[in-house]
Amino acid sequence: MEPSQERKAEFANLLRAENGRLYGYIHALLRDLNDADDVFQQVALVLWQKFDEYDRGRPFFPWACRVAWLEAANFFRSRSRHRLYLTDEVSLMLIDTHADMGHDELEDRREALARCLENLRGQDRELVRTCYGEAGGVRRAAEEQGRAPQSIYNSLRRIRRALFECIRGALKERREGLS
Amino acid sequence: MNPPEDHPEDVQDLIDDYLDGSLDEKGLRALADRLRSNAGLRHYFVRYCRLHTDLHLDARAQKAGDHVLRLIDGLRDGSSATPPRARPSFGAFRLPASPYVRTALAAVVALVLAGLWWWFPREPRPEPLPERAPTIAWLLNAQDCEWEAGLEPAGDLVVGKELRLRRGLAELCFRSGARVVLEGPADLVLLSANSAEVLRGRITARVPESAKGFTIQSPRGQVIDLGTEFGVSVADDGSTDVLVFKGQVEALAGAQSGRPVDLKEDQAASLGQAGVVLQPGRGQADAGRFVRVIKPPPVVTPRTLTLDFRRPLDGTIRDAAGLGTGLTHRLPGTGQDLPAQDPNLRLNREAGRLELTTTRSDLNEQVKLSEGEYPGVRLSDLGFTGTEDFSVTVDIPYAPVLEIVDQFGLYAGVKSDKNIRGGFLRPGKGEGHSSQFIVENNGGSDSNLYEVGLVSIGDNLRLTLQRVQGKFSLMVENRTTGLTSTLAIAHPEFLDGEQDVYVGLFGATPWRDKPRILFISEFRVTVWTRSPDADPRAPGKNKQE
Repeated sequence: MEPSQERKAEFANLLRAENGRLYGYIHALLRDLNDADDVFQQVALVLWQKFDEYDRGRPFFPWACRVAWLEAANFFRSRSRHRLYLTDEVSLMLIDTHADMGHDELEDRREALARCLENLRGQDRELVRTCYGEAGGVRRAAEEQGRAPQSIYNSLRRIRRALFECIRGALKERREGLS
Repeated sequence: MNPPEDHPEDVQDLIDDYLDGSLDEKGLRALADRLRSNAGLRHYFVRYCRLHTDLHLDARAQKAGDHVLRLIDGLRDGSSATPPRARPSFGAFRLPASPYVRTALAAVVALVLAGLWWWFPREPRPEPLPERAPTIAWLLNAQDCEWEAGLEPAGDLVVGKELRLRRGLAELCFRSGARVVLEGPADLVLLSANSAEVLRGRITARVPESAKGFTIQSPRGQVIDLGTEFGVSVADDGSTDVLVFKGQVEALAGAQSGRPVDLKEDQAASLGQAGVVLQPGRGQADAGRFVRVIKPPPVVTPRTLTLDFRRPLDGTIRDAAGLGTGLTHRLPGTGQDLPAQDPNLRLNREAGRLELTTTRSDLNEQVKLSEGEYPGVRLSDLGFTGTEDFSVTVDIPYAPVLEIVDQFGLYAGVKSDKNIRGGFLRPGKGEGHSSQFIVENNGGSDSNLYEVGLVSIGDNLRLTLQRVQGKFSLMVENRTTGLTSTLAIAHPEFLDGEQDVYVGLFGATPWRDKPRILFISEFRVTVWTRSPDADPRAPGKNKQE
């Protein structure tokens, strides 16, 4: 393999290993899936451009998150001046917290979520998929059900908290089963 | 693990508000304070946000899955309802539909996976990242282009694609909707559906609202669009100039940590070691250097009729003394009751001018038009077929005295109640200065009147009414003051595609029997006909602004 091919492969491996968590970090900052897609794509490219500066003695994920945070800040400044976002200090602190969440935990959470979604009441599951499935989903659900958007938001909160509890229970069970 | 009981309801509400986008500034500060001081809450926050992310991704996967299922259904139905009928020359396609179904399905699944590849981190994927990148831009327009081998816009325009234009003009459309015109020699790398890096050369970008945030990077900095049209020029040594034509951009020099500077309309700046340096006065001076739109090459032939009124022309509308004025037609619906030797027209051969005496008539509300003076020519006599651009110009050596609503100028139209006209009218009472106007008439009444400026009695004027790329405008050159002004009119669709169009001049004193005399020293009509044997889109010389 040529050196440049080797570098590309190394980069691709690192990014592939971290893209799930990196995407999560970006999405937590931006909270909009389409915006997160755009910024994620941009971040991946900038990471590749700056890959020469990456210190191989250090973990890749926090480095990638710092780049992502800069890009997200640029994005906020140019695209969404009206949208509020967390202070720089807190955003940077959260990198460590995201790093705490290992790949296995992330994967366990997803698997648990799939099961917990199945256990939801049918109408709750539908509501989640409508609201999360597209931009403007909440408005659409409100129109379809003849409810106020705020009431939909309240239902979503209740379901989200229940799902979180359900996932927590599943993870606990799994840990206890393993030990 | 931190059970939510550790976090009081109000924090939980703050987090939910944060995710739903309904958190106000005060709430955000409160949330930030709590997160800063409480590691346990940060732990909980990140996992709760992760749930939010996973719900989004799950819904997206669900949608993609539904889409695939629908596709399979559709294909099955289609293949059984209408068995593939092979055309005689395509006998090979008389195969069962299933391989096609399989291929289509595989393609869709691949796309879904490409869009959701982070969703499957445990699946090792052998390909390096950039290979499944989606198309993020496409070539919209190219003129006289010569591309560097291997760096032409062939194949998919994906993230990381470099384009090197040696000469010519090329226009790219990004998936976001932003459009970029490259002027060769130029070298550009596609960074995302809404950004690119210019390594060298000149580009202009037009960015619709949907693509706000469109970013151009250069070796010396970056320019972030805030809803606008701008130009960037990168010299061979990387030095970068930015110029804003419309709207506003944010410019950053050097690394991304630099301080951004907002640039507004007509402002120019250079990006370099010294940061973003404004270049006062450069904006307008340099604007002409940029090609902002690729215009179709002019393989059109102008056909012009010019009347200088120095000799009578047989077979044309006759004046009071029976001399042919050179004007051949009247706007249909006007002048039917005027005698064959029109007492209101006088060909003054010695002075080289036509003298037109106004009558009491008005296109607005179609008042007494049978005596109205609207002489002109028929455009089809100059090769007009309905789509060509055209212009009509008159020289008026001496702007007349007018009284309220007295008017004169130029018209273009099909008939008396389907036309536009522009020129001068007296807006106020009494005698005095007149103001420029342009107005539409579709159905008998005037609408969309534009009025601007003042002209002094006695000024030497040239009026041009033209249609360029379907848009009408009236240009007034005041040769006494040296000032030129242009009035554009909202595009009047009712004249689109009309084939029998007349243009000419008029003078009217609608409110009184007090005729005015208008002097016209030259009348000129041009139709830009397209030569029938040439494709108007074929490459040719590009006329730049």
